[in-house]
Amino acid sequence: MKRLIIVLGMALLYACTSYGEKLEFKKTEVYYTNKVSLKEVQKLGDYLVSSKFADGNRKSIQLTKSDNGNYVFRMVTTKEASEDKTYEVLFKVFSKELSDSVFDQAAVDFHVCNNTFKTLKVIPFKNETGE
Amino acid sequence: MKQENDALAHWQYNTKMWDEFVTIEKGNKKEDNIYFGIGIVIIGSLGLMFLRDTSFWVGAAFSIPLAILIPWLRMKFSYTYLKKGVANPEVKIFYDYLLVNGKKIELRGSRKRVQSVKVIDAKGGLKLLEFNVQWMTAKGPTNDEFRVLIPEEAHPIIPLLIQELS
Repeated sequence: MKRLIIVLGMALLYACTSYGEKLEFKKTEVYYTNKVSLKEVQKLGDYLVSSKFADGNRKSIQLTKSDNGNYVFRMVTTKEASEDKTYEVLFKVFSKELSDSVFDQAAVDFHVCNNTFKTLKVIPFKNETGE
Repeated sequence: MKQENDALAHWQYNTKMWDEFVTIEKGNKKEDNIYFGIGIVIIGSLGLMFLRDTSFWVGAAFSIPLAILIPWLRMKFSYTYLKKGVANPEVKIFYDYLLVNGKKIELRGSRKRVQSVKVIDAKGGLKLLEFNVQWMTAKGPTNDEFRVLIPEEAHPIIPLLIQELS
């Protein structure tokens, strides 16, 4: 019984800290939760390779969906990069490109994260018409 | 979707870091210019030999001064941003141009385009962002490379930047 509790506890801990399943595209780790399909992740990975985002250097991202149905693209970066307002333009542009090229123009929120995927900043999706 | 008005990145450095970059980059440019000079001597000498029936030495006598002068002028006027001892050095990257300590380097124009953007490793573990810019001349396309130092904290966003600038 004690062993079962330990195993269940560890499983619960794993579930709480896990970043989800993982696929790798040219050394870019794409973690994904069960809110998105494998097909969507594959399409994202193909785009990351074709757009040269996945360039052979190690980096990690996570794909999930928020409660309002928006896709959430979570990228590991530095605290400094998350605090730099200039980069917001890049994050917004990238979200828009993901929306257009991968997710059939669905909304994509960009989360700037630390290396444990803790969100440091959220860049909500805004399409060109500002809707 | 390309952003043409907003700065895509604004990088600031300390003077020591900037001076280190200038030393490396001047070394790169010097190497480029040596090859450029050798090219002028070879093409100039052979060109004069075949087109003007001169001897090799006469051809060389005309082309060697040009092989020294042209790279020197290029170094003097095209790379004025490579200056040491700048207070508060900074680089701003826009879609069409770079602002390096207030000096504008055009990346795109009616006859100019960015052929490639990539990260290159430099001495001392530094990483440089290299813009290969191509423009049209009467004799065909000409290329030049402009490199800026990537601060360490900006490394993770480089793939996004390259994607936007390519």
